[in-house]
Amino acid sequence: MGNKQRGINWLKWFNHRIFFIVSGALATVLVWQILSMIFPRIIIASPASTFVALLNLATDGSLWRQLGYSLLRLLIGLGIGSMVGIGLGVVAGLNRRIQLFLEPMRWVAMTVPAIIITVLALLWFGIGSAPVIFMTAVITVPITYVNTLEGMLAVDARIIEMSAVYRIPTGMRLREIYLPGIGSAIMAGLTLASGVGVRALILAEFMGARNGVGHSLFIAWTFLDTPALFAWILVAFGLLGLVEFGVLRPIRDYLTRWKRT
Amino acid sequence: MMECVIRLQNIAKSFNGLRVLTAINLQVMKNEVVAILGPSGSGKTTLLRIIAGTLKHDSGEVQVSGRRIGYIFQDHRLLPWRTAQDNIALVLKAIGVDQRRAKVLARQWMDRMGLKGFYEYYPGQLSGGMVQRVSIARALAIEPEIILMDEPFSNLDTELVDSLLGELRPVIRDSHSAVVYVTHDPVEALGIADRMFLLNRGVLEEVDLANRQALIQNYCAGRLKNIADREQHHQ
Repeated sequence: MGNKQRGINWLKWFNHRIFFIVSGALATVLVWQILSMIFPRIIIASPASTFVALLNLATDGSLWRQLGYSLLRLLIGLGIGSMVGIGLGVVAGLNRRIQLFLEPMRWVAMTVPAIIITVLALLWFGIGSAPVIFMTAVITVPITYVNTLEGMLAVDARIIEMSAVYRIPTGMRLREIYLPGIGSAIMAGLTLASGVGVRALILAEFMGARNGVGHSLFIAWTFLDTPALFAWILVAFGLLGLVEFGVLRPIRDYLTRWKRT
Repeated sequence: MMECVIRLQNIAKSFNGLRVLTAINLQVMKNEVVAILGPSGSGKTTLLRIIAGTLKHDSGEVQVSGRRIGYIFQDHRLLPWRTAQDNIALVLKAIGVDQRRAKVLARQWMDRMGLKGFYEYYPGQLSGGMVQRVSIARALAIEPEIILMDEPFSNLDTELVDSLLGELRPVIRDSHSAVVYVTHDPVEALGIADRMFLLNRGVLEEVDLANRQALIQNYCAGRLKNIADREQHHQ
């Protein structure tokens, strides 16, 4: 009886989504291990040496310090960029002429390569936090703008008509109808922007900062310390996870709580 | 003398060259319920939207003296992300009622519509009939001078419609509003209206309501004949 129950539990576990996520992660580590055995350790550090390097960084405190710098810059950059992007998206969603006026700027912002923005940011702001925050914000603006605009245009026209009949003032309409209506679209934009933003942040820190995860990557690369380099790459993944699961997902869950009723 | 709240003169409206309303003439007095009867696509909703001011007419004159309009839509049009109580409170806040008072009034209207205890439910958690009651409570809560009802019960079963109409009639009478009730169901129209019009080929024709019983009998006989004719035609 006990064995039968255990068998059923295993089946449940196998069907659980976590099983597939863990399997995927283990397969990735396995491929990484095989590659590290094929190539010299200066090219690819093994998972074990990377985890040792990560442990050293965590115990001497540099991991938390550098992660803190990068996280702060990322949140400020995302915050400024998303405020501008969401604000412009809302205005463009309400006014077709403004949408058309902004279209060339959106196109330029979305197609200009990140390296060009980084070079210009370094030229304008010098080395430090300012170019990194600027870069992250500039990358965030068009992504959040496009998602917000799409969300605004998708708000149910019948609800808008209802608000017109009941003469709901513009401010209240924005707060009560548009913003909750576009919550999912904004959060999708922010999730996408945070992914692109982390890449931009690492690039900007690599080229023009005196601290942060990107700068630490640069130092490890300069000294050919491959295990530390790989450890910082893992930290960069963790940075994105922190923003997505620690900040964005709780906000999204709060904004869309009515969908789970 | 009765006060005229809605006055329509020779209203015409076309969509892409297709004339929906040809020459609509209508007066609705305060404290009066006017039903407009017509098949789907006859222009009933178009007429209501012109009265509500959300659709421009091509020609003619619209005079609406009421500032507050309560509109009960066929599809409830409640905000899915707001609770039933907050949906009603929203339109109250829009007319200047402060937040606390708006919530109190919203609860009172929900109680009156038989929704006591469902204040914090989201529209998605309520049945079709309950959602429509919330929509009615929202329209009545603002103490409207005009109530526009666009086939509000078309998605509900007959028993529920009869019960809602029975509850709604005294509430509407108490509101002293000018009411335009649009439907394709003559029994619904006869059940609530003081005057009734048929919307036919873009023109309103008044129906004599002196003998409602005979009208219902004629309507039933007409429908039964239609069914029999179709059956014969099919065979």
